[in-house]
Amino acid sequence: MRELGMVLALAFGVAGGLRAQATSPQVDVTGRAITLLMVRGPQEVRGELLAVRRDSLWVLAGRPERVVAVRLRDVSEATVRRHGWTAARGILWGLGVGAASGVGLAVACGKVSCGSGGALIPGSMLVGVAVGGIAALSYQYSSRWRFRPVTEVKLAPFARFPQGPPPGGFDVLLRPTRDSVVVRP
Amino acid sequence: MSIAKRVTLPVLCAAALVLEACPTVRVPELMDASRTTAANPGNYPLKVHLRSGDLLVLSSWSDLPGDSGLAGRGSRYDVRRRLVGSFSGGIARDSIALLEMTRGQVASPVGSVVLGVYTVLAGAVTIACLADPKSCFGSCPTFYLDEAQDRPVAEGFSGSVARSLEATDVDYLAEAHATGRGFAITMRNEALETHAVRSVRLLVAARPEGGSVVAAGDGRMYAASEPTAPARCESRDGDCAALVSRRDGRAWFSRADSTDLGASDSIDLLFPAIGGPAALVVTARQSLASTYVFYQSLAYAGSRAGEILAAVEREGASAFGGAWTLMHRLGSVEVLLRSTDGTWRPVGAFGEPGPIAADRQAVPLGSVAAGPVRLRLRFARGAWRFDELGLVALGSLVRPIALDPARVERGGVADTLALARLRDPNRYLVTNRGDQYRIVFDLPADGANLEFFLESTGYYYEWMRPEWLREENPAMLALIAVNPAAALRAMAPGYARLEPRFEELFWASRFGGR
Repeated sequence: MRELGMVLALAFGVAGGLRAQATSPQVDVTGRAITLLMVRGPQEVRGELLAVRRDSLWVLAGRPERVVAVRLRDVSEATVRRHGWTAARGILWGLGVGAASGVGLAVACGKVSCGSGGALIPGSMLVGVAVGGIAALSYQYSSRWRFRPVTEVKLAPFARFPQGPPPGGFDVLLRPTRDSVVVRP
Repeated sequence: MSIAKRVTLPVLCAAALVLEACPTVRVPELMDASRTTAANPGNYPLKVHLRSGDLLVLSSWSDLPGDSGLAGRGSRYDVRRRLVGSFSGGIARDSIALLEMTRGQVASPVGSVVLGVYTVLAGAVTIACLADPKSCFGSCPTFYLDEAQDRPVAEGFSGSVARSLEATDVDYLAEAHATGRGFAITMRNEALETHAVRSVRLLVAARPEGGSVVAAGDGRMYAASEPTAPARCESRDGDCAALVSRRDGRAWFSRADSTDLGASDSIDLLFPAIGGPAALVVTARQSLASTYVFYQSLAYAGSRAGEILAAVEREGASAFGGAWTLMHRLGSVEVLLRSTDGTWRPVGAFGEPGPIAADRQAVPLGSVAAGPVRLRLRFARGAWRFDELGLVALGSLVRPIALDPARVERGGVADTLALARLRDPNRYLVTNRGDQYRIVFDLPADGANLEFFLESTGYYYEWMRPEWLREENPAMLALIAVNPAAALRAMAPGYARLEPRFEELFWASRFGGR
């Protein structure tokens, strides 16, 4: 039973750790991560969604940070982070379960001198990675909301300022570094 | 562990893990400031977006009288979303731009299902295997020492699958180290089998100075020197000397031929000159090839298996001779000695049925000529795992003392009925899955100076499993009967598919439910 407990603890530990990582804070006080596919200008804009209006939206992007203002009509598709389970986490889950299972099987194998214990852990981990890889494709797809066409009503709930830009504008958001810049449309 | 526990625990764990694998999605919903805030589903805080750009995150809140605003407690963040401090008080309705509720959803992407199913399967197999390793990796009556209850040191009469095939098996207990006048061994039935044990005896012999006692396949025992490791060991795959030089659990083995399970393989050994009577000492166990062939044959027999076993009971092995030919082909290692004229001369054979515990046997070579000793081991490819191959100088014959059990305990309590049956050569102790008996022997001398061998006599019956009936195949059964060599070729691809993980995943096949 000691080995059983060990395997369960390992499996739950991996699962719990990944889940904790995947769960964002109870309430996000900033906007969601957004990726915009553009029909003109830069091919793609990524960053935090700050605000959205009927014809424009603003994204806090890049390092150094800058506020990028974009015309909605120039955006072909917007994707917004839905949950934190990414492809990497799917693979890690599979790997963790595979490792836990491999350890358990190797322990069981050792008890009866089956002679192949050494291959069990890497073999089981490989299977875990393969299964995790399949799951990763699904997580990668489901971890985003996709919006096309892009409208104010759809995106506003995910913005830091769903009511629109704050009275003082966005300059105050930028860190006071020499490189900070506001890019206007 | 009861069946209920075996099922319940994995199911509970699986359910928990599947839920763990489902990410939570937080869906924001905006409300106009004029809306009532009384209803906010879930346990999430209420976000109050102020016209100034600041944000209040309220853990508790209520409407102020007259719809003038909200009162609440929580935290306040500025436009850069830096925490300004805790907040407690009223908020005027006209300072509120929007209210934001959060609705939690458990997402169930396909990935969660895939990971959940995988986790359930891997967990169930691992837990079942940990709870009962032998159900995954072994079969037949097994014997454990008190000091190593997690690893069998011997398996008894593995080839005796019917009463008519009852046999006596002698296993060297290499790891037995007794001090004082007592010796105990635990016999277990951990398989889906009924064991009929006629006797379990301990054979003891005084250990010769600077050597040991070795048992030959015919049951005779000899005083012998300590084994000498081969100077050279050549296999098809290259040098094998390091793996077979001493008994350490690291075994040399080859993969079976994927087109013919009967395909021949060999190892050539070169030993330093020894002169005089000598023997090759082999410590080895079978791979799972013979297990596969045996159970696959039962599966091909399907609904006729009982009929065939009954015929074996009446007429002996000749009733289904083809099957025994198969097993003999896989279950025997031929030993050849190179003569001075360069020819290879058969001198004996090694055979120990069963894939669980390795046994040590001596193959007497007769009196070998002066000069290096060259030996060849010929066996079915992939059928054996050799732990130690050593050359010993044989001394005189040794007559061991055979000890009957002095006491038998079951669950820590003396079992006089079992003791009587094990001591009476005309009766059997019948055991079923889960039974275990601790058998105690009184030694004639201090155990520190003795060599131990376990002699077990009996037979066992396999329990038919529904899975086997699904593979009934009269044509293959006929092929086994009339042309065993062709049957070994026909079964080879199936075994080749299983072989890489067969040792590890024995339970996952039809044999795994043992």
